[in-house]
Amino acid sequence: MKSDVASAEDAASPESLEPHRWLEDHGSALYRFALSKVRRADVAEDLVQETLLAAWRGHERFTKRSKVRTWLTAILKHKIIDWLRSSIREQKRVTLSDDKWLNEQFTSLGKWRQSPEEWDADAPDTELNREEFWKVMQACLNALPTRMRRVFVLWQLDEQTGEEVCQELGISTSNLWVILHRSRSRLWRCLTVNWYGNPEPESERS
Amino acid sequence: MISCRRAAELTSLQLDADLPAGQRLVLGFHRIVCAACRRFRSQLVEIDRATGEFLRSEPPAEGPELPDDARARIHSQIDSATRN
Repeated sequence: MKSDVASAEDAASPESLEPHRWLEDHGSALYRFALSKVRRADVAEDLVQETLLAAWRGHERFTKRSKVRTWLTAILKHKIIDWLRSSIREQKRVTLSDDKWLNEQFTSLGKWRQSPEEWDADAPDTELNREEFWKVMQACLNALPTRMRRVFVLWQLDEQTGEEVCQELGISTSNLWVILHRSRSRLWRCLTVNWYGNPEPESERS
Repeated sequence: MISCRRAAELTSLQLDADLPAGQRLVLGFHRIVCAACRRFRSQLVEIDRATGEFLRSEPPAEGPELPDDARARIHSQIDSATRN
């Protein structure tokens, strides 16, 4: 009997096309989704609002086969992409400076100062494990310098080519590759230390 | 031979774009002789996959809640938008 009752999330009954109800049912989830990427509460709140209003205006396009939350999240994702793009564009364009952190990973001859080692831990494979992993992941993303993080997150969310992204951001492709490499290298080190289990050796004090 | 530093740059770049044949060649050669850079590559691929999955997947069940004042504000915005 139970299987005959579609949950409110699954079916597009008239009431599930109700923005007030979307806010109650999905508001916090949408807020978390946005906050993890834009890192600003005020912006995340605004994006949730814009998403619900856009969803209400376009609800004819909602296909009954998808879940309301999935549909709303897809709309929100585009709002986040737009916000990231304009926030990156608006920041004063500075020429890329030397990356002190990255420099420190290598000797003056370009050899690894601390060679990549085998990881001890695997990628998370249980639900619980995954939640823990996501927390570490979020902390590592938060630790990236702001502009670097925005570019990296945009690159991951936006399904466009490098040339298209660069055109929108007003940066050169070589700058984009450098920023992505710097972001990834930091995430690699942070996740290696905090999850995959390969602690940094005693820091060599000079 | 290119340095590990350069190999790391090209390894990252290779996740985003096709490398020209010449760069592919020097990177390939470097990896044959350098176990550390081979390991770096497989770990970077995993990092990239995991971050992509994290950023695109739906939010976790737990975490910060939409603040009450924002919730109230959005309700009233919905009211005025749907009334017209």
